[in-house]
Amino acid sequence: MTHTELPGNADSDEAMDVFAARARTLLTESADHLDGDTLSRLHRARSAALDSAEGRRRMPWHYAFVPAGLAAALVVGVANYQPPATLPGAYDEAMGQAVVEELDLLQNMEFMAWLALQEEGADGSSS
Amino acid sequence: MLNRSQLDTFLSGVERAAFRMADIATRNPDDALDIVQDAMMKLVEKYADKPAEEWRPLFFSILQSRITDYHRRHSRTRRIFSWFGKEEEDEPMPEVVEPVGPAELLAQRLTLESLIEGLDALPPRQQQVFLLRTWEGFSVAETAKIMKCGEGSVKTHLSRATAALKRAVLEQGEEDSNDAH
Repeated sequence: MTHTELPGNADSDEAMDVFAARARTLLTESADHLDGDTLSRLHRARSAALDSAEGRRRMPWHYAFVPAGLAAALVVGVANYQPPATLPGAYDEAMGQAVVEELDLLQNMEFMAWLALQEEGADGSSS
Repeated sequence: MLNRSQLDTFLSGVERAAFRMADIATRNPDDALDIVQDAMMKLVEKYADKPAEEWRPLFFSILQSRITDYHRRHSRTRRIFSWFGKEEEDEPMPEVVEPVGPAELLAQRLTLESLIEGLDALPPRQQQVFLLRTWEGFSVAETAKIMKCGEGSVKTHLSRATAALKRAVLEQGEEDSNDAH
Protein backbone atom coordinates (compact mmCIF):
# COMPACT_ATOMS: atom_id res chain seq x y z
CA MET A 1 0.00 0.00 0.00
CA THR A 2 1.45 3.34 -1.04
CA HIS A 3 0.81 6.52 0.85
CA THR A 4 1.34 10.06 -0.25
CA GLU A 5 4.08 11.47 1.93
CA LEU A 6 2.94 14.15 4.29
CA PRO A 7 4.78 17.44 4.43
CA GLY A 8 7.29 17.36 7.24
CA ASN A 9 5.78 20.13 9.31
CA ALA A 10 2.29 19.00 8.31
CA ASP A 11 2.40 16.37 11.03
CA SER A 12 3.52 18.73 13.78
CA ASP A 13 1.23 19.93 16.58
CA GLU A 14 0.99 23.31 14.89
CA ALA A 15 -0.05 21.74 11.60
CA MET A 16 -2.53 19.56 13.45
CA ASP A 17 -4.06 22.67 15.00
CA VAL A 18 -4.29 24.48 11.67
CA PHE A 19 -5.69 21.43 9.93
CA ALA A 20 -8.10 20.68 12.78
CA ALA A 21 -9.26 24.28 12.88
CA ARG A 22 -9.97 24.23 9.15
CA ALA A 23 -11.83 20.91 9.46
CA ARG A 24 -13.85 22.29 12.38
CA THR A 25 -14.82 25.38 10.40
CA LEU A 26 -15.92 23.34 7.39
CA LEU A 27 -17.98 20.92 9.49
CA THR A 28 -19.62 23.72 11.46
CA GLU A 29 -20.53 25.53 8.25
CA SER A 30 -22.00 22.36 6.79
CA ALA A 31 -24.11 21.85 9.91
CA ASP A 32 -25.24 25.47 9.84
CA HIS A 33 -26.43 25.09 6.27
CA LEU A 34 -28.57 22.00 6.52
CA ASP A 35 -31.55 22.06 4.17
CA GLY A 36 -35.01 23.01 5.38
CA ASP A 37 -36.41 19.51 5.08
CA THR A 38 -33.68 18.07 7.31
CA LEU A 39 -34.12 20.85 9.86
CA SER A 40 -37.86 20.26 9.90
CA ARG A 41 -37.35 16.55 10.43
CA LEU A 42 -34.88 17.22 13.22
CA HIS A 43 -37.41 19.52 14.86
CA ARG A 44 -40.05 16.80 14.65
CA ALA A 45 -37.64 14.22 16.02
CA ARG A 46 -36.86 16.49 18.96
CA SER A 47 -40.53 17.13 19.69
CA ALA A 48 -41.29 13.41 19.43
CA ALA A 49 -38.49 12.60 21.86
CA LEU A 50 -39.73 15.16 24.39
CA ASP A 51 -43.39 14.14 23.98
CA SER A 52 -42.55 10.50 24.33
CA ALA A 53 -40.53 11.07 27.47
CA GLU A 54 -43.28 13.21 28.97
CA GLY A 55 -45.82 10.52 28.20
CA ARG A 56 -43.69 7.85 29.81
CA ARG A 57 -43.10 9.96 32.87
CA ARG A 58 -46.82 10.70 33.25
CA MET A 59 -47.85 7.10 32.87
CA PRO A 60 -46.78 5.76 36.27
CA TRP A 61 -48.62 8.63 37.99
CA HIS A 62 -51.82 7.80 36.12
CA TYR A 63 -51.38 4.10 36.56
CA ALA A 64 -51.19 4.66 40.34
CA PHE A 65 -54.96 5.16 40.24
CA VAL A 66 -55.60 1.80 38.64
CA PRO A 67 -54.51 -0.42 41.55
CA ALA A 68 -56.03 2.07 44.01
CA GLY A 69 -59.34 1.89 42.15
CA LEU A 70 -59.21 -1.87 42.01
CA ALA A 71 -58.47 -2.04 45.74
CA ALA A 72 -61.37 0.30 46.54
CA ALA A 73 -63.70 -1.75 44.35
CA LEU A 74 -62.58 -4.90 46.12
CA VAL A 75 -63.20 -3.41 49.58
CA VAL A 76 -66.67 -2.23 48.58
CA GLY A 77 -67.41 -5.59 47.02
CA VAL A 78 -66.36 -7.51 50.13
CA ALA A 79 -68.27 -5.17 52.43
CA ASN A 80 -71.48 -5.58 50.43
CA TYR A 81 -71.06 -9.26 49.82
CA GLN A 82 -73.99 -11.43 50.95
CA PRO A 83 -73.77 -15.22 50.88
CA PRO A 84 -75.79 -17.01 48.18
CA ALA A 85 -77.86 -18.78 50.93
CA THR A 86 -80.11 -15.74 51.13
CA LEU A 87 -81.43 -16.40 47.65
CA PRO A 88 -83.49 -19.54 48.38
CA GLY A 89 -85.01 -17.77 51.42
CA ALA A 90 -86.09 -14.90 49.27
CA TYR A 91 -87.40 -17.35 46.72
CA ASP A 92 -89.43 -19.22 49.35
CA GLU A 93 -90.82 -16.00 50.67
CA ALA A 94 -91.86 -14.94 47.18
CA MET A 95 -93.38 -18.33 46.49
CA GLY A 96 -95.24 -18.23 49.84
CA GLN A 97 -96.60 -14.84 49.00
CA ALA A 98 -97.80 -16.11 45.65
CA VAL A 99 -99.55 -19.07 47.30
CA VAL A 100 -101.35 -16.79 49.75
CA GLU A 101 -102.45 -14.54 46.92
CA GLU A 102 -103.73 -17.54 44.98
CA LEU A 103 -105.73 -18.76 48.02
CA ASP A 104 -107.24 -15.33 48.45
CA LEU A 105 -108.19 -15.31 44.79
CA LEU A 106 -109.71 -18.77 45.15
CA GLN A 107 -111.73 -17.67 48.17
CA ASN A 108 -112.86 -14.61 46.31
CA MET A 109 -113.94 -16.75 43.38
CA GLU A 110 -115.89 -19.06 45.70
CA PHE A 111 -117.49 -16.05 47.27
CA MET A 112 -118.36 -14.56 43.92
CA ALA A 113 -119.84 -17.88 42.79
CA TRP A 114 -121.92 -18.12 45.97
CA LEU A 115 -123.00 -14.54 45.55
CA ALA A 116 -124.10 -15.23 41.97
CA LEU A 117 -126.10 -18.24 43.09
CA GLN A 118 -127.73 -16.18 45.81
CA GLU A 119 -128.66 -13.51 43.32
CA GLU A 120 -130.08 -16.08 40.88
CA GLY A 121 -132.06 -17.68 43.74
CA ALA A 122 -133.41 -14.37 44.74
CA ASP A 123 -134.41 -13.60 41.17
CA GLY A 124 -136.13 -17.00 40.79
CA SER A 125 -138.10 -16.69 43.97
CA SER A 126 -139.21 -13.23 43.09
CA SER A 127 -140.40 -14.20 39.57
CA MET B 1 -40.30 16.58 36.63
CA LEU B 2 -39.21 16.96 33.00
CA ASN B 3 -37.71 20.34 32.23
CA ARG B 4 -38.99 20.44 28.67
CA SER B 5 -37.84 23.94 27.85
CA GLN B 6 -34.28 23.36 29.04
CA LEU B 7 -34.02 20.03 27.27
CA ASP B 8 -35.49 21.49 24.09
CA THR B 9 -32.86 24.24 24.12
CA PHE B 10 -30.09 21.74 24.70
CA LEU B 11 -31.24 19.35 21.98
CA SER B 12 -31.77 22.11 19.44
CA GLY B 13 -28.18 23.17 20.12
CA VAL B 14 -26.65 19.77 19.38
CA GLU B 15 -29.02 18.28 16.84
CA ARG B 16 -27.32 19.67 13.72
CA ALA B 17 -23.86 18.47 14.65
CA ALA B 18 -25.33 15.17 15.77
CA PHE B 19 -27.09 14.77 12.46
CA ARG B 20 -23.95 15.59 10.46
CA MET B 21 -21.95 13.09 12.52
CA ALA B 22 -24.54 10.38 12.01
CA ASP B 23 -24.87 11.28 8.34
CA ILE B 24 -21.11 11.06 7.80
CA ALA B 25 -21.09 7.73 9.64
CA THR B 26 -24.04 6.17 7.81
CA ARG B 27 -24.06 8.05 4.47
CA ASN B 28 -27.82 7.78 4.75
CA PRO B 29 -29.85 10.81 5.94
CA ASP B 30 -32.85 8.70 6.98
CA ASP B 31 -30.75 6.38 9.09
CA ALA B 32 -28.91 9.40 10.48
CA LEU B 33 -32.19 10.99 11.56
CA ASP B 34 -33.31 7.74 13.18
CA ILE B 35 -30.06 7.57 15.11
CA VAL B 36 -30.33 11.18 16.27
CA GLN B 37 -33.97 10.78 17.34
CA ASP B 38 -33.11 7.58 19.16
CA ALA B 39 -30.28 9.32 20.99
CA MET B 40 -32.59 12.22 21.89
CA MET B 41 -35.23 9.85 23.25
CA LYS B 42 -32.74 7.92 25.29
CA LEU B 43 -31.24 11.07 26.78
CA VAL B 44 -34.61 12.54 27.71
CA GLU B 45 -35.95 9.27 29.01
CA LYS B 46 -32.93 8.21 31.08
CA TYR B 47 -30.89 11.28 31.89
CA ALA B 48 -33.26 14.25 31.99
CA ASP B 49 -32.87 14.35 35.76
CA LYS B 50 -29.08 14.65 35.54
CA PRO B 51 -27.48 18.10 35.82
CA ALA B 52 -27.68 19.97 32.50
CA GLU B 53 -23.90 20.22 32.19
CA GLU B 54 -23.73 16.42 31.98
CA TRP B 55 -26.18 16.19 29.07
CA ARG B 56 -23.69 16.96 26.31
CA PRO B 57 -21.18 14.15 26.98
CA LEU B 58 -24.07 11.80 27.76
CA PHE B 59 -25.85 12.68 24.54
CA PHE B 60 -22.76 12.16 22.39
CA SER B 61 -22.02 8.95 24.23
CA ILE B 62 -25.48 7.65 23.33
CA LEU B 63 -25.06 8.90 19.77
CA GLN B 64 -21.71 7.15 19.34
CA SER B 65 -23.16 4.01 20.82
CA ARG B 66 -26.01 4.10 18.30
CA ILE B 67 -23.58 4.73 15.44
CA THR B 68 -21.46 1.79 16.58
CA ASP B 69 -24.59 -0.38 16.71
CA TYR B 70 -25.42 0.77 13.20
CA HIS B 71 -21.99 -0.23 11.91
CA ARG B 72 -22.25 -3.58 13.65
CA ARG B 73 -25.55 -4.24 11.92
CA HIS B 74 -24.63 -2.94 8.51
CA SER B 75 -20.98 -3.60 7.90
CA ARG B 76 -20.37 -7.16 6.79
CA THR B 77 -16.69 -6.46 6.28
CA ARG B 78 -16.24 -5.34 9.85
CA ARG B 79 -18.03 -8.44 11.04
CA ILE B 80 -15.69 -10.63 9.01
CA PHE B 81 -12.68 -8.79 10.45
CA SER B 82 -14.03 -9.25 13.96
CA TRP B 83 -14.42 -13.00 13.35
CA PHE B 84 -10.72 -13.16 12.62
CA GLY B 85 -9.96 -10.95 15.62
CA LYS B 86 -8.62 -8.12 13.49
CA GLU B 87 -8.98 -4.77 15.19
CA GLU B 88 -8.49 -1.30 13.82
CA GLU B 89 -5.59 -0.87 16.24
CA ASP B 90 -3.69 -3.46 14.19
CA GLU B 91 -3.60 -1.27 11.09
CA PRO B 92 -0.07 -0.22 10.24
CA MET B 93 0.75 3.41 10.86
CA PRO B 94 2.02 4.97 7.64
CA GLU B 95 5.41 6.59 7.97
CA VAL B 96 5.90 10.28 7.43
CA VAL B 97 9.10 10.84 5.50
CA GLU B 98 10.17 14.30 4.38
CA PRO B 99 8.93 17.86 4.26
CA VAL B 100 6.99 18.99 1.23
CA GLY B 101 5.34 22.30 2.07
CA PRO B 102 3.86 24.55 4.73
CA ALA B 103 1.13 23.27 7.03
CA GLU B 104 -1.18 26.15 6.16
CA LEU B 105 -1.18 25.09 2.52
CA LEU B 106 -2.49 21.69 3.47
CA ALA B 107 -5.25 23.20 5.56
CA GLN B 108 -6.15 25.60 2.75
CA ARG B 109 -6.50 22.71 0.34
CA LEU B 110 -9.01 21.05 2.62
CA THR B 111 -12.54 21.43 1.29
CA LEU B 112 -15.79 20.08 2.70
CA GLU B 113 -15.97 17.56 -0.12
CA SER B 114 -12.46 16.26 0.45
CA LEU B 115 -13.01 16.21 4.19
CA ILE B 116 -16.26 14.24 3.91
CA GLU B 117 -14.66 11.91 1.38
CA GLY B 118 -11.68 11.42 3.66
CA LEU B 119 -13.87 10.86 6.73
CA ASP B 120 -15.96 8.38 4.78
CA ALA B 121 -12.86 6.33 4.04
CA LEU B 122 -11.81 6.17 7.71
CA PRO B 123 -12.59 3.22 9.96
CA PRO B 124 -15.63 4.13 12.10
CA ARG B 125 -13.73 4.48 15.38
CA GLN B 126 -11.17 6.84 13.85
CA GLN B 127 -13.97 8.82 12.25
CA GLN B 128 -15.83 9.15 15.56
CA VAL B 129 -12.74 10.14 17.52
CA PHE B 130 -11.78 12.74 14.92
CA LEU B 131 -15.25 14.31 15.00
CA LEU B 132 -15.54 14.29 18.78
CA ARG B 133 -12.07 15.71 19.38
CA THR B 134 -11.70 18.05 16.44
CA TRP B 135 -15.24 19.24 15.90
CA GLU B 136 -17.00 18.92 19.23
CA GLY B 137 -13.84 19.78 21.15
CA PHE B 138 -14.10 17.02 23.75
CA SER B 139 -10.89 16.38 25.66
CA VAL B 140 -9.00 13.12 25.31
CA ALA B 141 -10.43 11.95 28.64
CA GLU B 142 -13.99 12.92 27.69
CA THR B 143 -13.67 11.29 24.28
CA ALA B 144 -12.34 8.12 25.90
CA LYS B 145 -15.33 8.07 28.23
CA ILE B 146 -17.78 8.69 25.40
CA MET B 147 -16.16 6.04 23.20
CA LYS B 148 -15.76 3.64 26.14
CA CYS B 149 -12.09 3.09 25.39
CA GLY B 150 -8.71 4.10 26.79
CA GLU B 151 -7.14 7.52 26.36
CA GLY B 152 -4.26 5.89 24.50
CA SER B 153 -6.70 4.51 21.92
CA VAL B 154 -8.20 7.98 21.46
CA LYS B 155 -4.78 9.47 20.77
CA THR B 156 -3.91 6.68 18.35
CA HIS B 157 -7.23 6.92 16.52
CA LEU B 158 -6.94 10.70 16.24
CA SER B 159 -3.35 10.57 15.01
CA ARG B 160 -4.20 7.98 12.36
CA ALA B 161 -7.37 9.75 11.32
CA THR B 162 -5.62 13.09 10.91
CA ALA B 163 -2.74 11.55 8.99
CA ALA B 164 -5.16 9.72 6.68
CA LEU B 165 -7.18 12.89 6.07
CA LYS B 166 -4.08 14.88 5.26
CA ARG B 167 -2.94 12.21 2.84
CA ALA B 168 -6.37 12.29 1.21
CA VAL B 169 -6.09 16.05 0.79
CA LEU B 170 -2.61 15.77 -0.71
CA GLU B 171 -3.67 12.99 -3.06
CA GLN B 172 -6.67 15.03 -4.13
CA GLY B 173 -4.36 17.99 -4.75
CA GLU B 174 -2.05 15.87 -6.86
CA GLU B 175 -4.96 14.52 -8.89
CA ASP B 176 -6.24 18.04 -9.46
CA SER B 177 -2.81 19.27 -10.63
CA ASN B 178 -2.45 16.25 -12.93
CA ASP B 179 -5.88 16.97 -14.41
CA ALA B 180 -4.83 20.60 -14.97
CA HIS B 181 -1.78 19.45 -16.93
